[in-house]
Amino acid sequence: MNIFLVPHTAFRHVAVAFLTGAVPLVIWWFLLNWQVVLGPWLFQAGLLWDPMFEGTILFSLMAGAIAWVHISAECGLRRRAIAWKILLPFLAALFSFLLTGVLVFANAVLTPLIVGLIDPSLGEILADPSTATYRFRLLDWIFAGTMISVFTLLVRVGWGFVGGLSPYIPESIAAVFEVPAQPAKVGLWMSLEHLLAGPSAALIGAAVWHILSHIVIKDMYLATALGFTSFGFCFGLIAWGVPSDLYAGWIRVLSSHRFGHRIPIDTPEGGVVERVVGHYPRGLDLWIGAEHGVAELHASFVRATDGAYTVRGLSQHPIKLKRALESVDLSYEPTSPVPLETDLRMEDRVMIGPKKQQTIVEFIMLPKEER
Amino acid sequence: MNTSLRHLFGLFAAMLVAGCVDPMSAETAVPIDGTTYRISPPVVTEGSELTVDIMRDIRRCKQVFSNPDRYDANAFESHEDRLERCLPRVDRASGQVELSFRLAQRDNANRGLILPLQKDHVRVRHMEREVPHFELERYGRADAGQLFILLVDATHTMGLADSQGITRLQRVINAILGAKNTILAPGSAVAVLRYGTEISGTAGQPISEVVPVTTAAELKAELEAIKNPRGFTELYGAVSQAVGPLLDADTAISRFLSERDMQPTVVLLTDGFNNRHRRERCGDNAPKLADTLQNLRAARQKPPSQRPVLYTVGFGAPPFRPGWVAPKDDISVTPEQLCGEFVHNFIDGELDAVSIDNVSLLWLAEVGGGEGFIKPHVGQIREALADTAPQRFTWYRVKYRVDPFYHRSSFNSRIVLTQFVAADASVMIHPSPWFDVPTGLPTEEGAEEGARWVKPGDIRRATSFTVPLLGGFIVLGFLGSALFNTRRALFRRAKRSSKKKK
Repeated sequence: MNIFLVPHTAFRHVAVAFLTGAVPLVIWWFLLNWQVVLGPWLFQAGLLWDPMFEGTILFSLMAGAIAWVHISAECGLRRRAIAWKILLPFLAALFSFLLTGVLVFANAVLTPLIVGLIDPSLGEILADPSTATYRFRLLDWIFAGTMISVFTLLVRVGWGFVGGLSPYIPESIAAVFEVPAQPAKVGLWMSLEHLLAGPSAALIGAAVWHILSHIVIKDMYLATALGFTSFGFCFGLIAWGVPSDLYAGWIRVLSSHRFGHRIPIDTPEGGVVERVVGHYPRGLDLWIGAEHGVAELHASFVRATDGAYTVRGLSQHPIKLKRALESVDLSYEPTSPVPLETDLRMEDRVMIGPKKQQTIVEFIMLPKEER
Repeated sequence: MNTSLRHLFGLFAAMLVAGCVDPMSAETAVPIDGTTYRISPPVVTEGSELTVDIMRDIRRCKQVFSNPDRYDANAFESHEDRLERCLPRVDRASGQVELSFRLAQRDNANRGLILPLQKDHVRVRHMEREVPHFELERYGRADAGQLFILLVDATHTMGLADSQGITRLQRVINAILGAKNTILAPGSAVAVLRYGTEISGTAGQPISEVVPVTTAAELKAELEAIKNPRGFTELYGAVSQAVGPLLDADTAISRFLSERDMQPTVVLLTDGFNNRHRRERCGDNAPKLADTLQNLRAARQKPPSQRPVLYTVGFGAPPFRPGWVAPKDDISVTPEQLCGEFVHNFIDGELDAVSIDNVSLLWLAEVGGGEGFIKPHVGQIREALADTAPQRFTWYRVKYRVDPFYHRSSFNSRIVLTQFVAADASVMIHPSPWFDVPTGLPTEEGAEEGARWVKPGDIRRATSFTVPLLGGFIVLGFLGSALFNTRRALFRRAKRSSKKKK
């Protein structure tokens, strides 16, 4: 996955979901062909699984694959070293695969035994590996969803620890493996999102599977394909959208004078950054001539420590921020002890100067790699 | 790291192998070709006279088809086409199940039997529930030796001439000769007996001396030997004699059958009622019919290859109880059952003057494993005779449909043969709870009945479903940036400067 293909729009929230939704479809297609096309030969060779293992294999592979692409997507977007690109998704996939397999298999074996002690006839139904009902299969979905949630979260938390250990890792090794200098924080909200994403996605996937197989079109063929696709898609949608810290804010001139000229509101070191726009001849970040309506020190664009971007009006000359259905006047109020400021959002336009001499700059978020 | 990885893959491989089925085990459910279902070995029910050999995999089909002549190789476009018909097929979305089977001896399952099995002889049960609508396809048409024992009514009513001056007996003889190609097919033979008050050979000789004929000329001579139709109609007695002593005692016919390994098919031709004397009423026939049915049932206990099949053909008048249907598995005859409102009516000159006893004929045929034909016109006898020589087949295919709801767990399909032979076998079919092949496509088959059968879906359609969907995901993956760039290219162009405006 490439950050240049993910603009900082609402699309970035679904970009990973497209990937995690597509992968189950491939796994489904592969397993279906394995069973139907190769099944008779595999059976003769003693390599076709017992029906009891069918759910185990299906859910394990789905969980492993979704976990793999989910972590892999982040590694790709963050341009991690190839070793991490392999190791992190592998760990998430391996544990999701194994633990899902163990739980789904245990559900297939133990649940009928336990339920059979209370209600033998129900135990018999549960023991039939062919039973296909929402009620009796829901647990398998939830196991898979939970395992993906847990292990993708653990891998992200683990990556934070790697950053924390960086002072103790020899520089030569740290350089080869591109060990991050700082521990990455996994916030409580993100952890909760992660932990809820899997089970929620599993419930949605199971519902789609059930509705399509038994209620609406009654077609198990499409039901499984679309059920697992929904599962993967919803997990990708809920668990981790492409975060804003992968992007940096830029100011870009939209007026014909100096059209396209842009400066980043960013530094490699991070921290608070301020960029000033004006016609003062020395030391300004974005110089624009006075004939274009810009005062000496007209506006400043700031990135705070929490990554939020703001714009301040520093002059009594007109300055307005415009976005769809909104307009914010930022002209300096002499009676006020502080300048007016407002939050910046992607593609906000800042109109500097009087109408007839106006310069327009826009604020855009571009991938941090953009230079 | 390498060692750990090797151990990990070893563990994974061990898990996979441990989870695999043992193909050598007789109990193992085999995958149904082209589906995600599996099918367990068929279980023949205790007490079945024959083995209903439900063919469940390609190996069994190939084994069965190893004799191409016997299994009608030429009836199919290709070997694959024949295998396609032989293998089980299931379509979940329509709930359709197709099973092929053949019949074999209980003690020698490799020896298939060639039998004239028809839909009426078969019942299908899904999870022990009767399936009301199913289809029986018959394959591997084969000629098997068959001896037709024709019981020709030679009572006084048969001597009555019609407006053209031709007697009913002569018309019957003409009809039989017209059907000579059917009843004298290669390997078959015909024995003709006449009955009135007594049963005898066509020339009046004892039944033990009746010799079957194998040529049209001999048949014609036999039939023309029937002279002077007279007396009452000892119909029940004729049937009892034909299926009992004629086949069991040391008669020319029983010797002929055992020498040529033929199966006897008894065809009863009559134009009236069983009647011994003038004062007999319809209800009086009930105990006699019950005895005859008892005799018939006893005769039907013989091994399938020696078991007589009885067909009855009534002609010359309309049925006295139209629309009557013979009961299944019931031979306790009451006067009301036999005669309905005509219990106290005289037969001679009253009932038999205007009608024929369709009840007795149909009931006898039901118990006799054959079919009853009521043909008001004598000219229709020829068609009925053609039907009494049913085509024989070596293997069959049952096709039925249930609500897809019943495909949500393992289910049992049972094929029960009744009437013709008592045989019964079932198979457990295990659907996959997760996978299915593309839904089958409706065919023209069954369209007339308003329920089209479906042709099972082709797995290749899964690819044509997956690829566009995957393509959609890929397109959507690029669509975000493409739309973003397009939008900016169109709407974020340079604004004209204020100077230029001036």
